[in-house]
Amino acid sequence: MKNISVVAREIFLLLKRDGVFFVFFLFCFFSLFFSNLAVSSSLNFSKKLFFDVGLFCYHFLGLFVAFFWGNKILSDSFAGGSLACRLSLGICRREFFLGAFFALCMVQLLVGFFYIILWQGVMHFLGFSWLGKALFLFYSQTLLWFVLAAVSFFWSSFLSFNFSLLGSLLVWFLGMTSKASFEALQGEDVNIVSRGLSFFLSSFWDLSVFNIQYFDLSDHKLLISIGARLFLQAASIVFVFLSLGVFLFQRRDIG
Amino acid sequence: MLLVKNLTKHFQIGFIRKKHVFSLDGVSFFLKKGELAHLVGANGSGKSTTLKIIMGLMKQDAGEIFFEEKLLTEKDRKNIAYLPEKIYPFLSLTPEEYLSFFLSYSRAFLGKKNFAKEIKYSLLWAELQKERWQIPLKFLSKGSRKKVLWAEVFLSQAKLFILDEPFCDLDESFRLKTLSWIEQKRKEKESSFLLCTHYREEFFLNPSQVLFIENGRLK
Repeated sequence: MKNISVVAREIFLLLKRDGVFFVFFLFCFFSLFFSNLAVSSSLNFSKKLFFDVGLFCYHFLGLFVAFFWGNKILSDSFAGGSLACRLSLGICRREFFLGAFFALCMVQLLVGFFYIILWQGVMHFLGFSWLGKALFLFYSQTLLWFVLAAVSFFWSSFLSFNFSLLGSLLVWFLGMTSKASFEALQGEDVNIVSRGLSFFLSSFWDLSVFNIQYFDLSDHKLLISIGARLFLQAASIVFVFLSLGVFLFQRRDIG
Repeated sequence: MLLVKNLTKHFQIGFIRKKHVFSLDGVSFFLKKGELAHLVGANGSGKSTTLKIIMGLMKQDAGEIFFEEKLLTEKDRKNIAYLPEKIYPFLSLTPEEYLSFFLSYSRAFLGKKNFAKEIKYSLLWAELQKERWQIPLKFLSKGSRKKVLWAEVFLSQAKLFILDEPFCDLDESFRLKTLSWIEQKRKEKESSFLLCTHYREEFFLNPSQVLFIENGRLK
């Protein structure tokens, strides 16, 4: 446990030096730019429109951090020799892998926290009310960030940066569209294999469940049950991908 | 202290039509406590592969490694210090930070004050100018980076030192200093050394055994 925490601290410092927080400023700039665009182009500017722009940017903020830095951490440690140096100190590969993942999660949490504070500040400045229960949408998006970070770690455990980034993007795209594909197949005359595969993807790998915009946010009990279900789903997906990642990572030669 | 038994590793390329590239073929040797061994060979003869397998960076296809009469595990590597050849890791960290993390990993309970003391002592020993202690490694010269790695070796309380091309990129005065440090450590008879080298001048160290490796086989 001690080694995992030291790896996490070390990788966090490296991520910070690598400019991971710069992406936060970039997205703050973009979200303010887009919201300004929405204000000037819409006839009836509403809180909903402003909020949607913020949430959209929030989604991509975490996605970028998870994909680019998630894939970079392990690739860099392979190429630069950091991993070789740490393993020679008696740190298990599993500890390094998990420590690096926690470091990325820490970065994501910090980035998300500051983004929400900033966004709430801007909304308040413009005369809108507090986010309140709408914060729940940010919670579900943050869970999705962790899932995508685990996906990136899984791919980069056995592939180089370019291929693992490509793999992560494809898997993310599949997750966002799997449910829609399955629903499109309903009633169509397709073979059982395609239907089975599509069913599996739409049940296990359906990332659209984290997009809960269309639920009734006023129902307190419903929110708690959805929150718990989403948490369990995210935790199980993260567990599966990290376990597979550790398994593959332990078998890879460090050249 | 270190027993390497019949170490074998095959390298192949290609997924379908596999092409054999290189093999490490039944490498065996024994290193006693307090001994210094030189692993000598041409480029691509298998020196670094042998060291990487010992350090757990590569998995062998066959063979076993014993450390202090027990099968070598990941945890045992705490007692082995490794100086890589051309690896300069964590380039965004400063020498002080790099060594501080090293101490956090390798020492269980050491206060921050003691950390700072030890780091200062080791960097002074490594003859790294004070103004470079807080500059990220990526801005330092190759020789200065190597000195930081040597400071790490100096801080290490390992029983076995595996040094891959330890003297390249070093200036003359520091090279002599490291040679005398190795000599002193050997006299204490507590540590063993496995040196991987191309250069004849390192033979001044008067090794206990010289292991010649050619095409993956010990001669």
